[in-house]
Amino acid sequence: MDLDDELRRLFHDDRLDVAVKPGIDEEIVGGARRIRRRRNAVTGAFVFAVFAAGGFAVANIGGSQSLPPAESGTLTTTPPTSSSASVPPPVIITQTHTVTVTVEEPPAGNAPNSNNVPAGYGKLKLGMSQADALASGVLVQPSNTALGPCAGYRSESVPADEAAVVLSPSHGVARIRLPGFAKTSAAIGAGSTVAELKAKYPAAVPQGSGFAVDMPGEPAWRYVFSVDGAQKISGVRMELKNSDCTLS
Amino acid sequence: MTAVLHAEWTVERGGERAEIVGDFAEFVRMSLPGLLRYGHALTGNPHDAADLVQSVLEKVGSRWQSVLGKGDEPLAYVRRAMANTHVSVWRRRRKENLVSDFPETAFHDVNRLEHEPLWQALRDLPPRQRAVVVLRFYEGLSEAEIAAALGVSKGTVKSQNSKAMATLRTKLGRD
Repeated sequence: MDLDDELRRLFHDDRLDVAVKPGIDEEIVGGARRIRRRRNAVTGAFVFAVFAAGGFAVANIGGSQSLPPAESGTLTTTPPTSSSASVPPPVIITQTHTVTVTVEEPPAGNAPNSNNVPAGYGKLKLGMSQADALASGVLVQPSNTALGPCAGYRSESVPADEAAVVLSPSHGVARIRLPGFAKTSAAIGAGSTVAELKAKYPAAVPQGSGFAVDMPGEPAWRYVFSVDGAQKISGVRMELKNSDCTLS
Repeated sequence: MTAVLHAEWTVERGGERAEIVGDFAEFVRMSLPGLLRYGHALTGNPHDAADLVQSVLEKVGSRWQSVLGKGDEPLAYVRRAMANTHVSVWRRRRKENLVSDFPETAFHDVNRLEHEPLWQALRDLPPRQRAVVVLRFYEGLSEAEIAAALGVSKGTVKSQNSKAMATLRTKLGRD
C-alpha cells in the first residue's frame, strides 16, 4: 500500500480513540475559570467597584492581588451602567461581560426546562421584543444595511456576520444565526452533510441554495440551513416564519 | 451579565429540544472525543493526548469570548493550538517518555496499535515532523495552511514533510 494511503488509514483507525475520563469536562471548565480569574482578578474587582460603588475604593478592593490589571485600558470606554436600551451597546461591552463573570459565579447548567419558552439561542428568543433584545447585551454592533423595515446586528457569538441577528420593530427578533460550532437538537450544524440533514429533517425543503425546515413552536419559526459547494451545511439560522423583514 | 458560564439552551414548545449551545462547557463536551483522538495522533499516546487537550482547552476557555470574537472556527483554533503546543512544549517531555509507561488496563486496543510498524515509526519522528504529517493526513491541510498553523514558512513545511516521509519509508522498509 502507498505510504500516503497507509497514513490516512492509520489516522482513521478506531484504535486512535481515547476514552473520555468522566468528569474531565467539568475539570477543564473549572481550570479555564481559574486561569481567567487569576488573570482578571484585579480588573474584575475594579469593574465591580465601578458598577457597585461608582468607582471609589478601587485600591482597597483590588489590593490583595499583585497581578497587574491586564485590560484596564478598556475600562475608560466602558459605557455607563445601562438601564436604557435605546442605544445598542458598543463592541467593548464584551470585555465588561467577561470580567463581571469573574465576580459573580453562576451555578453551571441551570438551563430553563419549561416547555413554554420560545425557541432561541442563549439570551435571544425569536419574537422577543426589540427593546428586550437590545437590552440583552449580546448584540454588539448594528449594520448599516436595512432589511426591509428591519435592522441587522452582529452578535457576540457571530461577530463576523453583520446581520447575525435581525430585529423587526413590529415582530421583534426575526433571525438568529448560530455560531459555527452550534448544533440543532438533531445534531445538525456547520459541517453536517446534506444527506445527514435530510435524514434528520425529512421535512426539509429547498430554499435558495440551501434548505429550510418548519419547526413546531410559538411564534412559528424555521431553521434555515445554507449549503456550500461540497454539499455540506455551512451555516444555520433560526428565523421567524412570519415577519416583515427582508431575510435573504 | 452572567451569560458566559451558563449552559444556554431553550426548549421549543411541543417537546423537542432546540438545544443550541454557545458556551464553553458545551463546546468542551461536544469536542472532547474528537480532540482526544486528534491529540493521540499528535502525541503518540493517550496519556499525553489527555494532558495536551486539557491544558490547551483550559487556556482557550480562559479567553473564550475573545476566541469567539476573532471569528475563527473555535474547533479549528483549538486544533492548531494543540499542534503548536505539542511542538513547542511537549518536545522535551516526549523525548523523556519515549519508552513510556503505558497504561496496561484500559487500552488493549491501543496496545495493538502499538505493534503497528507505521505507528511506531511515527512515534519516533521529531514532534514538528510528526505534527506536519498529522496536519497533512489527519486534518487534510495544504502546505500553506500547515505553515500558517505552525507559524513556519512553507519551505520548512516542505522540508519537514519530505524528511518525515523519507524516515517513515526507510523504517518501514527495514521492518
